[in-house]
Amino acid sequence: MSDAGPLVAVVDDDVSVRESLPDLICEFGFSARAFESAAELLACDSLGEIRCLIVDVEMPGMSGLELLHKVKHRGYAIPIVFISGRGSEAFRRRLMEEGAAECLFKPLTSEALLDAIEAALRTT
Amino acid sequence: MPAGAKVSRPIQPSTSRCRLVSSAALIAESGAQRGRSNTPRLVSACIAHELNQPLSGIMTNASTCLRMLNADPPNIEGARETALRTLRDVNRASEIISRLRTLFAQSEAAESLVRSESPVEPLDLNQLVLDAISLSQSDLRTGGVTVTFDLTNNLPYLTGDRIQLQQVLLNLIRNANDAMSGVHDRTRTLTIATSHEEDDHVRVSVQDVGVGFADEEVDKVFRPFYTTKAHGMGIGLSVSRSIIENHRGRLWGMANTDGPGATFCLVIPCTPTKISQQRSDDASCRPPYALAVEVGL
Repeated sequence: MSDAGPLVAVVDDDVSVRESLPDLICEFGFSARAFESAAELLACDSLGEIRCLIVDVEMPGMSGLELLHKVKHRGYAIPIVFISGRGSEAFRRRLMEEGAAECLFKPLTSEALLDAIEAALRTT
Repeated sequence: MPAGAKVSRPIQPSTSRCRLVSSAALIAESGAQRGRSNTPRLVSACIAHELNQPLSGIMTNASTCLRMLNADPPNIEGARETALRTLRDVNRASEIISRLRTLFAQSEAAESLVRSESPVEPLDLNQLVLDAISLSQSDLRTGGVTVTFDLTNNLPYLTGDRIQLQQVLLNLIRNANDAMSGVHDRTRTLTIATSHEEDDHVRVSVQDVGVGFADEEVDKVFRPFYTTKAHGMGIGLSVSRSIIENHRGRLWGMANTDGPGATFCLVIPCTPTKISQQRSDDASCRPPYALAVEVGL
């Protein structure tokens, strides 16, 4: 975890995403933290410090969309960038309608991710 | 200036297995929502999804690696670590490909799964069962399995794709055989039964006395990429279910209630009367299933 820049949290059950994305996010100049599940994120005591969430849509247990509603319900206005392995435009539209800041399809390009995080941070 | 060098962590082994289950469940659900499953589409959606995971890691790690090398001063240690992770993800992708190769090499008949046009013909369920047992004979012998038959004579014909249905039976037999490989305290018995159901369906059940499964696994075993086998691809049952559903039938599994093991059953509608009548002339010529005795291994 880096001290520089706003805190961006990654929530993904895939260990290789949890290892690789935070490093890239730190390279962008933000600080990063990874969580294995939506439940783990919700249980952490620093939810209020997170400025942007990168969330895998398809997770076992609580899904990305459920997490979005839970975060909102708790009164946090954290922008959420979803990442998904399912490349359907209709699915993306639905997530955006539900209040997602962005929805990116895997595999992610670093440019698309950086653009999405910067755009999401501008909304807060 | 980003944080640069970070504390080096051991590279974690791939955990693709648990991942496979979750993503596959999602795909299975979307298939169920469409009401009718499409085998080639289902399989390719699963493969695409599974390959996307390591590809994603490769892309992210390679981007990070480049950024670390381009930094001033370059972060060599960080770049080395991300390069290693890239390799790990490449291996993960190769593993998926090699598992797919194994799967499709298992039987040439599997090719019929991706053929859009396959012949549909009136079929005798008992004959399909006997053929499948015949084809599995050497595996069953290796597995030390005794086969018991309980076949109902003069079953009505069903209409279907012979190779696909045979593929399903072969898969059920192979699963039963595998499930009993660790059994040493009882006879490894595979019981295969056919019957004519009241609502114009024919039914076949494949029962083993193997490890069985827990109640909560009943539905999971049909999810693509769910497997309890060390070298299984985990798509046999999901593909089998798609095939049976495409034949307007049902395939399900249950744990045996009267002892260890599991039973998988499938029902398929009989051929409409018209074709049955056409075939009724040669009903008397149907095999008497004497083969059943011969293959009692």
